[in-house]
Amino acid sequence: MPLTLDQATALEHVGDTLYIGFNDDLERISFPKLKSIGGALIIEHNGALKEILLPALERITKYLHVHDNAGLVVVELPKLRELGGEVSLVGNPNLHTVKLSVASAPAKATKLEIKDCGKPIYPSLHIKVAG
Amino acid sequence: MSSTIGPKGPSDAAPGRVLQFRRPEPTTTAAASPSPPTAPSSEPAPSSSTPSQAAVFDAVAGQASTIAMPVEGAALSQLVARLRATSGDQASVKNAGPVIVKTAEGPVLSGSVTIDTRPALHALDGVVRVGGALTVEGTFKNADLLALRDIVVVEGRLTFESLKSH
Repeated sequence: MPLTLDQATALEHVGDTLYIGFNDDLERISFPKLKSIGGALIIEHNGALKEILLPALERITKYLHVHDNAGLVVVELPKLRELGGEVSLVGNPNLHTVKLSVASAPAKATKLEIKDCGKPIYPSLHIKVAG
Repeated sequence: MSSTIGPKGPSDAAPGRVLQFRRPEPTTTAAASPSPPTAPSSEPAPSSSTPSQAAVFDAVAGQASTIAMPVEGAALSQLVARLRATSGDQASVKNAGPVIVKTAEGPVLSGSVTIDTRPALHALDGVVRVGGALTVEGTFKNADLLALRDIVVVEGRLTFESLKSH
């Protein structure tokens, strides 16, 4: 039976990096109340992962990396407003939906990197550099 | 095997006094993380002008006696009171690692912890805050992960790695 990571329904803040990696059976990541991450958000090498849903996430102090998730289809971070580093979406061959909007990323740190992802259908991918 | 209980605050009636006591069973509910009983003691016990039976130190062997005596009577009461004052009434003692402390906001796990078994995961049930890093790895069912449902804050790094379904 596939695993889902959506049980932490009360989680609002992670003081350092949130790392989710090398989970072969993981299909879904959802933290419905998570608002801030004090480090980076790294999601990598989760072969069965299909969805990343972080509907309340507003701030990532460092960077966002989503790498090498072969089955990943959807990434949704619709409320992200602050990002301290780059956005890197690499090696997700089935990724076709990204909802992400960053309005206040520092100019020097922010870089958008999209490689080896699915045929790009990004309905809401906006990186606005505020600095 | 020895444990040294040093002064913890102004309420300590005997600062620097060394008590050696029988380590409580894991099911004991108190609230402290005394030094691991197996940890070697490389330093002699502080001197005391009136050493009690509980403050035996084998200077010849260069190490503390294994167990001098169980803590009883007034010494036990003093110890329990001190532990309760520092960590809360209902916290459970396992080893010198993280301790779950009952607070006004709910149970708080002090320190960092790696969870890799189902029983360990279930021990987090009801915890609202993790004071350090939390790592979850291993084989679980989705239902096992419901033990994370009350956590509001993880103060350190949060890691989910090498998870497999049960």
